[in-house]
Amino acid sequence: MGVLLNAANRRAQQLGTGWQAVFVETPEYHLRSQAHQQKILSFMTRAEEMGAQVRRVEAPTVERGLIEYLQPYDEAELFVGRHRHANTITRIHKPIYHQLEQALKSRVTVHPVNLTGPIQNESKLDVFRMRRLRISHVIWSLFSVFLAYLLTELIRSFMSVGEFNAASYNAGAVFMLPPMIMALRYGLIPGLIAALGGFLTLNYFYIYPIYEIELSATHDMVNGALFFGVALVMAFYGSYNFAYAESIRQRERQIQALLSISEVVAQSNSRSEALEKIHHAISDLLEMDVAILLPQTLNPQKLDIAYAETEDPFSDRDHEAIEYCWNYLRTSGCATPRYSNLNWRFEPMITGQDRLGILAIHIPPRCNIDVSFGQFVAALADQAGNILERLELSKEIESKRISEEREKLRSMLLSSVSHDLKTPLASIIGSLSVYHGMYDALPDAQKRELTETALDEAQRLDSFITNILDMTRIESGHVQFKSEWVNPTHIVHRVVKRLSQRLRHHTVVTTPNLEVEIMTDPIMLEQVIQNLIDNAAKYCPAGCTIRVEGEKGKDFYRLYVRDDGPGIPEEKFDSIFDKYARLRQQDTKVAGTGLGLSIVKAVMEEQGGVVSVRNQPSGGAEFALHFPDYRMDQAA
Amino acid sequence: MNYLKDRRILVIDDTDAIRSFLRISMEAYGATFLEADTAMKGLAMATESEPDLVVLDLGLPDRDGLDILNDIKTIANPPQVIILSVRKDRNVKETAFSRGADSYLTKPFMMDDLMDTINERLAKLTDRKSDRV
Repeated sequence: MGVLLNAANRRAQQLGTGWQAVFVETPEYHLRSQAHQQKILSFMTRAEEMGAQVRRVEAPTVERGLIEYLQPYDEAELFVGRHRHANTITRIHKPIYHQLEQALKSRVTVHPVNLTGPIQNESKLDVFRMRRLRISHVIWSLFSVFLAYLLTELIRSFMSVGEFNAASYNAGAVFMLPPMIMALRYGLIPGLIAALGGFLTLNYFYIYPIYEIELSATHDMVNGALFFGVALVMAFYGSYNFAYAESIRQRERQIQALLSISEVVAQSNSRSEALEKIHHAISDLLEMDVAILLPQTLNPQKLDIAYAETEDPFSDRDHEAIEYCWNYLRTSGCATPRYSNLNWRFEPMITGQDRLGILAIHIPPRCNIDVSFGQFVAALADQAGNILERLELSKEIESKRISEEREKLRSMLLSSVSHDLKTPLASIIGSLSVYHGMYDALPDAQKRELTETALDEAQRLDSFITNILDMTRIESGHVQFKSEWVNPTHIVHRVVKRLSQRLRHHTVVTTPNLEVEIMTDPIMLEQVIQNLIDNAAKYCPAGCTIRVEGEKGKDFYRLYVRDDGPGIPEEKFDSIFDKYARLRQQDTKVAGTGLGLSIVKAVMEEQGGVVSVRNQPSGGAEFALHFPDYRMDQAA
Repeated sequence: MNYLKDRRILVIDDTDAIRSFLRISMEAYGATFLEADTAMKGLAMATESEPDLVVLDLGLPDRDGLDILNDIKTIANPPQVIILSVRKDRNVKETAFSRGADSYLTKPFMMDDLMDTINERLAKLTDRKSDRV
């Protein structure tokens, strides 16, 4: 049949045009042997490799299919095979190309191509080698004949002997049912078995001589032959319908399957998860062993078996076929032009320019695979390829987005930090340079104001720097937290004293429980409390009151920092401890690195405590430090 | 030479400490010191009080200093504008100048440098005024 393809291909090249290989799927095709169907699949694969577009058309006959297919074309050339050794049937019928020539004469030139070699030498008996003949179907066939016999006996019990004999064709009609039903249900062979069984039963029980398989009277012989003939025809047509319906059902299943695979896989987030799901879905769907081969990261020429039932299910020949498939990106293995005698079929997964891997399917022996199966497997490989590519793309985009975001935040943090360090520094340098340059001209009060400002700002600068260093150390894991019993009251007092300059416009009330000790790192706790008080001072207008209060629970101690300022806007609760949060918002209303609260959170978590924030019912923010354990102060 | 005497200087900066030492220093030179801690207050004051010179910070809480620069330069008797900011990127400076800034100083700064710049700008103003007369 290669002759036919070569002829078409040559002609297409001469004309500089494309060509198509059209496969007309007739109902008869479904009755054909497995070998025949595989041969056609292999033929179509070959055509595709030679550059043809492969088309499949469904029609009652090949002629009608081609005529309908060529309907929209104004001009075409058709290459049709012609057998030199035409058999009796083709001699009686006009050859296909004659019929086509007549039907298409004005628009299509038909080229008959003489086919050589043993192409069509398949016996008509191949029809009988029906696929998947199950023993249960044979038993059902025999049983159905038995039922027909019972039914006939039942009818006979209601009739007199004479009456029954006079209308013995009734029995014939009853025995006609099993072959038809069996053919419709299970296909040709069960139908034929039922036909034969029926004929024999009829002959044995109801046709003279009774209880012998023999036909003596001429009319009985004619009746018997007629019965057998009709049963045979019914079985044929029944199985014909059966096959056709089966093929429609199969197609339906395949379409559903393709849809469901993309649905199932759409929910997976990672490549490996998607591959696993694809593997699972295809194995389930085909009820065959499936393997997915993927190129190695470092050496894409080599393939790894990523998903398979066993570690390496492939023989040496299989590996050759895999290599061929990968290097030439062509389907190889079972029912393809190359390595056709293997049990595996290898389908490359390609999208655009990229080869992503190979989908390997193990075709069980005696399994029926045909053109539609081949197309289906190719569609599966395409589908899998598309899914993988999509995942790859979204992963790339995501990781790029993340690294861009991180880079942006990093540079924003850097510029924010440098801004926040330079602002107090500007105040210090400015104040001191005024003090220094105009020393003689300034009254004492103003000199004091200048030095106070400088001192204040220097303190602020110190706390910025401490915060930045702390955050860096905590993040890099270099901080060794001490753990000792500490009286929070002392620490609160120390902080308030240190911040007295900055808190001069605010009222600070501290009432932690004097007699309590908590297990913590004293230096870090000082940092935490300082950051919270500092934060309250920053966001509350002058004149506000900041309260630091303690609460003893049954098995916890809480330290509150409350203010009566404007409170925290609802939308900020989620991000208030996020060190990047202040960078994301564009305003720079309040000076500071924005790291203070992130440090509070990091320190508390590091020590097994919790920090929480809320707005008090009376307004104003409330930060709570929750310590899981406390004891009464031993010294108090 | 001190050109500050009897001049009206408006400082728009959200950092209290900076306004504080600028006030001390400029009042010592005999200038009238006006101050604002937000861009909008600053713009309103620039329109109402007709200062001779504005010292403008860029990172203001409500709006960016660059945003009000145009507005300041288009009021009836536009003041001289000196930008005083921690930002030192080239393109920020270029934008500032294209919107009418007269000088640009980065923080931190020495008071002498700021005074020199202020005197320089006020001298121009005095020259122009005397030209007109």
